[in-house]
Amino acid sequence: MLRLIARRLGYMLLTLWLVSIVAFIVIQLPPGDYAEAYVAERAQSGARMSEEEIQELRSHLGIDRPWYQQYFSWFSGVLRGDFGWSYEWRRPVADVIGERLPLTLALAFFTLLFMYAVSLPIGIYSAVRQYSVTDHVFSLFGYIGLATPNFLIALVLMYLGQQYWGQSVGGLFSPEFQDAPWSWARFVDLLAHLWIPVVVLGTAGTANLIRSMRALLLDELGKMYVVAARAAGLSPLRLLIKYPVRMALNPIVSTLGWRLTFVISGAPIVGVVMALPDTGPLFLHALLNQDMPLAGAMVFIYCALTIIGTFVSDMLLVLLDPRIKMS
Amino acid sequence: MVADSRRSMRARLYPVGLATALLFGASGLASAATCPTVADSKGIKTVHPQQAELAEFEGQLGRKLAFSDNPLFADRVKAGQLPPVAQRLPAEPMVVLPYQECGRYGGVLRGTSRALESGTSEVLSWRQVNLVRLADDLATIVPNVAKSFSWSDDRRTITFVLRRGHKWSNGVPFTTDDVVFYFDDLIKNKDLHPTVPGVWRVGGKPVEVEKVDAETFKLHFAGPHPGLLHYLSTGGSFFSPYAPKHFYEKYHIKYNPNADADAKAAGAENWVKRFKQVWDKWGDTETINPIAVTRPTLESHILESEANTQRRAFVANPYYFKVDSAGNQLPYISRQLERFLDKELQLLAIMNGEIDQKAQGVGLENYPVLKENESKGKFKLTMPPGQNGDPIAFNITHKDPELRKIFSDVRWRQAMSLAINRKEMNETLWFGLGTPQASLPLGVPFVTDANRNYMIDYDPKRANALLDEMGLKRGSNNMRMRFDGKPLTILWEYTSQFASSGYVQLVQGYWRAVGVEVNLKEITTQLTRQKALAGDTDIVMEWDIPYEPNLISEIELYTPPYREGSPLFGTAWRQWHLSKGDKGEEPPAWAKRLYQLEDEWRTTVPRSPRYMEIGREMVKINQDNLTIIGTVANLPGPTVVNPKLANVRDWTVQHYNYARTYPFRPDQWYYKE
Repeated sequence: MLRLIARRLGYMLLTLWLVSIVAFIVIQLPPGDYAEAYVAERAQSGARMSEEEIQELRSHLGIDRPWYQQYFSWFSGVLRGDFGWSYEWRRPVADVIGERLPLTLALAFFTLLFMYAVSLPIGIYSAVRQYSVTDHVFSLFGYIGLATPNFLIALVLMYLGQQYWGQSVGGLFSPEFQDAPWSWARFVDLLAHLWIPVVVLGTAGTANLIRSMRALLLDELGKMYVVAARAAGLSPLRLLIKYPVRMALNPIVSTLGWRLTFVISGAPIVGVVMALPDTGPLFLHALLNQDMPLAGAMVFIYCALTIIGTFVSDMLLVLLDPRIKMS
Repeated sequence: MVADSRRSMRARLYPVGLATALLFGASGLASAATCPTVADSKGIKTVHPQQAELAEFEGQLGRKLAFSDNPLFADRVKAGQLPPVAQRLPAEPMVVLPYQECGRYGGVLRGTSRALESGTSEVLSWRQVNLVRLADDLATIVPNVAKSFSWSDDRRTITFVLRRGHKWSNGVPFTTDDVVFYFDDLIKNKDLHPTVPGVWRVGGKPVEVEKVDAETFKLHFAGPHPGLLHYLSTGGSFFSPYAPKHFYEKYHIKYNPNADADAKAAGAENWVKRFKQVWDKWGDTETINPIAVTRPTLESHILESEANTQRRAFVANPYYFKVDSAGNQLPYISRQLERFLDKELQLLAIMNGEIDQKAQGVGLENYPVLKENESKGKFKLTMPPGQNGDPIAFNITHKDPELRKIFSDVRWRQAMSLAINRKEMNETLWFGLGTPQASLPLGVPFVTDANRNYMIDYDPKRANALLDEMGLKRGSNNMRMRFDGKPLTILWEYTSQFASSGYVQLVQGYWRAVGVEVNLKEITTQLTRQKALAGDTDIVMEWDIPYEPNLISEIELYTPPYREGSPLFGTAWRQWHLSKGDKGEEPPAWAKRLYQLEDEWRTTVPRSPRYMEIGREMVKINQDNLTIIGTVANLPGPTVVNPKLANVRDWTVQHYNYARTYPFRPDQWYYKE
């Protein structure tokens, strides 16, 4: 068992290192560099930059060096836990990400809560009352939820929020609460803004979960032990909750590990559309502007989390299911 | 009602101006007593429009002005953390005559930008100051931070006088040392600036700064530099030539031998990198670093808290150097809040009444939706001119010899210009709000209507005749072929930043109609720039049409390659000109003449007879050769403003070169209720 873990850890480190190289190269792949992106942003507001100024910017940021040198100085920093300074925000990368992490986590937490709270009861209901009118109605909504792009729902809900409920546009706080210390009023303001992104981000996942919960439960419901329990006179609700639902939940719970990345990454498109202060828009901007230290750090963290998440669920599976050999 | 009652009070309290000022200052209302304004100057005559120096103003008033300030500072003054207003103001503050009324203190000015360094120049203009500024006529240059300025006769030396007792926002005196520091230790420091920025060089030699006393300094140039003040008040208005020496000393190796070690301790490689983290020529960039909260400035508002990825917040500068004509220290508005929103969200925020003023990036395409929502009363929409339908330039110095042969024939450019239906473009793309026009510098006195209408008729017949005359025969599909018999196809690589897809598709249609095949391809702005630099694009559009002040200070905007960082064509020509024939490529005679005129222009006094002659000739050469093909001009730029904001003058132009909307005096804006 220990040898297995050690070997897995070794592979993980190797993968991480390879990922860092690939991430670095991929981020550098598009034509141009941060200086070019910066010039373009400036040009958008009409400001002109001379060729000399652009060269100065390049040499100041060190992006005039060959890529392997840049990679080396970046990765040696990462090994020391120092992700460097973001070009765009002119602050340490850790600060920039750190500023947005609490709200990203809050958003992810509420979204997960929403997803499970809505999808599990509906999934169970649909399975128990298979082919009933209600099942069909839920299925219909589920498919719509799966098929509609997130950002579209975001736009519609935001328009409604702005037009009819007088909500402030974008972000998770009204302007007057943006810098206020935490208070009950600020919390209420947060909740008033939070529900739209939660619904938007949760819709597709919810639809998905309803489908899998329904399918898994249907499998279980037909099994012999259910029939036996029913024949023994167990009350239907108790039987349902205690045995088949628990069995059906297993695969859903074991995929929780995967959601680790989702928790950190937010959803870039929805984030941009709604100006959410989570890490999604930050990541997108960093990629568009080729802000290497920030984009690199985020890709690196996402990958690390995915790898760790996979490792954790693998280990859990080994522990839970003795049929999986430890080899 | 409020205004009325105040006016009657003013009449009654007129003889006791001082008492009134104290009374109103304390109650949060700025004093309205004896307040000469632009609308009603009460007999006050000023040398410069709408502003006066204190001594001059008090002389005419016949008494001393009593000062009062924003109640925001009252607690700190009482606690002894801030000196009283009379000690915070310079001994020689600038007196501003407000447009309508002396205002009242308070409120938050809410704005939005895209991101920390994207589309921020308008909010920067809310607080920015420089040595001089442009008056409302967009031509006269008037004092601002500097109390006065004067040129030597040969325009090689300019003398600036600062305000006695002027202080940075932390109370430390602002003197000529801060100017000398800027030039000698920042701009001319080889580590910080390997090359001195263009505006501070004449004939290749950098400026020499001379300190005369604590308030007076001279700038010496190697040759005449008459365009300097225009630069400082328009394109360069964001680049103030001074920096708080007492604050930056500790980061500079010249003043702090440990600067390198300190930089390493702060996580930077060396002092240069550290210095660039805390200082930037572009004052906006400096505010990003957390250190900026303690960075002193002369601007009307100073950072209130650290900038983050969502917003920047500013609060009134207690040491701001201007008072209104009743002695109230400006600015009236206590705070500024800049939120970072995506473009679509900005529009929603405007309609929601969450933005108090915005012009930058609103976009003419949003005009209908804004107009529709204006009636809800959350914003007032004005339409100052300032956008221009993007011009088209063919790459005359194309890498491909065959295309170069075609593009450099002036008949080609004439035909392409005549094939465009500008009226239809104006109707289809811009709601008919613009004027079909040739591409010309704007607001200059030497451009005539004949220039404006040159080769802009829609005349496909003549265009066809010109192309036939050139010898561009039609092939089997009725489309034209190159001289070598291959099909003539133009690849138009455009970026949505400079042309909408509607624009390029319309023009594609016009040109196809005269037998010229055009393929469209949208690419990123970064790519267009790189391709333009490499010289292998067919069409380039990235030309900022210069206004007169830009032309005065940066005449190279009107000679090939028209934009150094992203050339239209002719980069090699300029090289040839600059190296006196050593490098690059010999330009045609007309381009050589343009370079000659350019050199002369730089030393010519604006609006002098010779200036007019050179201007006329440059326009003629550019037009005879149709270097740049114009489409539609004078398009309005939608600008929204909170109807409750007062002392906002109607804007006459909306363009980056005027630091967005102009005339722009946000330090006298205030909220009516």
